[in-house]
Amino acid sequence: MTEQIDTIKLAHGGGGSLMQELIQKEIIPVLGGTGLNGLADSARLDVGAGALAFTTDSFVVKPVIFPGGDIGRLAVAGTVNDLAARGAKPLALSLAMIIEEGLPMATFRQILASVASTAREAGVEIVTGDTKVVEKGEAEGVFLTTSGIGQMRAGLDFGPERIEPGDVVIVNGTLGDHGIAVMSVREGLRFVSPVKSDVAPLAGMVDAVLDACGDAVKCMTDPTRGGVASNLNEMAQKVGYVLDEQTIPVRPEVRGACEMLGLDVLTVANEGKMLMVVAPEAVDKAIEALKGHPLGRNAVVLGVADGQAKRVRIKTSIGGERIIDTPYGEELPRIC
Amino acid sequence: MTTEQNESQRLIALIGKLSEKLPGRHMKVMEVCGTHTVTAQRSGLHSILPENLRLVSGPGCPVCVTPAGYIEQAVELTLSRGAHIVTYGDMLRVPGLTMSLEDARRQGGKITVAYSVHAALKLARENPQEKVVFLGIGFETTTPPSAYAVKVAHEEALTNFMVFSAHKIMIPAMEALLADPNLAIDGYLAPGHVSVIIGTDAYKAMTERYRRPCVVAGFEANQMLLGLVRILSQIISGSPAVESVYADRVKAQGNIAAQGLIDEIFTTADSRWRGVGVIPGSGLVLREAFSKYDAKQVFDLPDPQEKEPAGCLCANVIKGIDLPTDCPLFGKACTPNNPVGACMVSREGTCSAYFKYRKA
Amino acid sequence: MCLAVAGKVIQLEEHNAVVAIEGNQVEVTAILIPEVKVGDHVLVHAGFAITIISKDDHDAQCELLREAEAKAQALFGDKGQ
Repeated sequence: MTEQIDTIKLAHGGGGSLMQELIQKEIIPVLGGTGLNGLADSARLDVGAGALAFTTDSFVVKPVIFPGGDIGRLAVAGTVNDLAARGAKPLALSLAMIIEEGLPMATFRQILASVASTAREAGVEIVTGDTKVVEKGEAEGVFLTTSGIGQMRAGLDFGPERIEPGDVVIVNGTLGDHGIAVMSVREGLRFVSPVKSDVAPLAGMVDAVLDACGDAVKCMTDPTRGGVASNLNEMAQKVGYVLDEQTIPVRPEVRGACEMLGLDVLTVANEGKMLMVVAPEAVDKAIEALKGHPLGRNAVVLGVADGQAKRVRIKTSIGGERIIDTPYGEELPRIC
Repeated sequence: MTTEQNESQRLIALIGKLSEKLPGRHMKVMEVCGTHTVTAQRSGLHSILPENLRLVSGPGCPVCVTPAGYIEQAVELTLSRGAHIVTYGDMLRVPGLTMSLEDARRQGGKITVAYSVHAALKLARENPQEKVVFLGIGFETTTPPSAYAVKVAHEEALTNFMVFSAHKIMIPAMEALLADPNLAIDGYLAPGHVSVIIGTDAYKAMTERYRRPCVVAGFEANQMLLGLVRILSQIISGSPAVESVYADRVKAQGNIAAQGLIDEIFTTADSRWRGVGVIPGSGLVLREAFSKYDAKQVFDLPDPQEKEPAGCLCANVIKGIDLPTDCPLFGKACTPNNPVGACMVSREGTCSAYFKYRKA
Repeated sequence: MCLAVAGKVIQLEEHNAVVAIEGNQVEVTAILIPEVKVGDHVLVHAGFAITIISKDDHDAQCELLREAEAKAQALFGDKGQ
């Protein structure tokens, strides 16, 4: 029974395998050019002597203000991080807003202020924008779209094709913080969590690692929706990865919430994390550079690439091994 | 090595030694509960068991044993009769006869996913114009919340709240499987959290009648291994009995208050289990006194129909006769993204667990 | 079939409890365990506390393992490995 995609499902936007299917089957065939086909977090544009990275992203989050951040910070950090994943220094951002009528002015101002402060933190300016207001019920508070361009480093590029067996996956801290922080304030869940979203612009931190390690960094990607499970599978074309259940960095509060809600932390969203695949000899240097930055203090080795192409696996605590698949879409709280 | 790993190794060694005491005998132990299935798959348990000990999955995934016809009725309730369906996330993507609840939502159905029944009560209180229908699925652990909600609705005279019960009780199904000579189950690893409610005593009559070990275990891999150690020990010593290795979380008499609440609101009835058929006395329906809160009665719904998709082996998988990998659809036409049968939809469905956590 | 997690009751008002689960505070209905007190450890399923976990739960689990080992060893008719 093969299903025709006839209407858009929520899970098509969940960052999982269904979204991959939508991109591959519906979007690329229609819009694909050389830049889009690569599906990297940012496209590379060769202009004159240098190269630019160019990216765009839309942001919807319910509620628009959540512990540790808001949609404004999310929209700036998200696009900055997509540029950073390509090793690009952010130069300029655009910001388009679709606002639902009735949004409290105070909320709007708070979001704007947050856009401004996050942009300052990332060292980038909002240079162009657009605003539309739609009738109540046609949007959820406010939707933001940001596009960004960045200056790529001369002689450096990153991509999954450079990854080889033996390379090491590093992450700059604990997993699942954003997803759980947002979920804790969704209606109906009846729990209060100290977990704050990790949402943060990572260009400065990435810069520090590239300064230290140069092209020993093979590939970078920010594990947002779909979590690290999704990104590791995306990077598992030529190689596979093996993780160790015992050393996955997770806050106890996040672990507890995941257990309660029946979620796998590897599929929960992050907004201030970067997965960096580095050559084995550069691991110590990369971790040291990360730990020297406030956003990388909890950096650890997450896993190792090996020759089992397309297979992301995790060693379990009783000595077994299992496969980690790309999740279907956003995972829902469950009782079973 | 961590204590946990040390314990695992001791338990695995012990299971190996015990199974050697049963040469030539192939043992089939059923883990009744879907959460056990997930633990077994997640931890790679199957790969470390001796060859003559097979762990098969049972009918303890509420999503998997809920008839497709029930989902179809829930779909109709929202699409044709204007009900607002509130459901645990587990049910959203299960295929009904024509569509899932997720499909119905895309067609304009009102469907809210909730972690607990409290959300459904709140929705009913705040929206008196809505007819809020809570999908009551699951076994004894999951029934008290539904019973509580009916009681609260009754006390508050909340006239727009209803439960659509597909609740089931575990033991009649376990007995039906033991009575089936095709299955030849050698012992049960009994569900920890159902047992918290019903107590170990509830299994006594069954264990005496069928003379098969029945060991209640928790949901860590080591707790399951410990349960298997006890089952094998019982088989070797020829003394099948009910016992619990879930410490004193499980009492002999269970949770009396929970049992009382279930009994106050619900009464047993025959019930259809997807893949298994109708098992007498295995379902829970609202008592006559609470018919106002019973979606089945309010909307005058018939018993749900059943029609399994062609080629799907869910029925045999649920009964532990076939492994998911025996099914021609498994991993090909039927995947977690594109489920054909119920066992592939629920995360704790046997097929989904096999697919997701298949051995690397 | 039923996920349940352990936590500690930190507030209790009639049947409405707040349970701390690894630092998260979860609103839980405690009507199924009328004898519950603040400070008790409980098992939570779908927003309901279903049982009280005794203080020596962990020790009890370890004890069960030792017992099972002893009983199994007795079946082998020897004490050694």
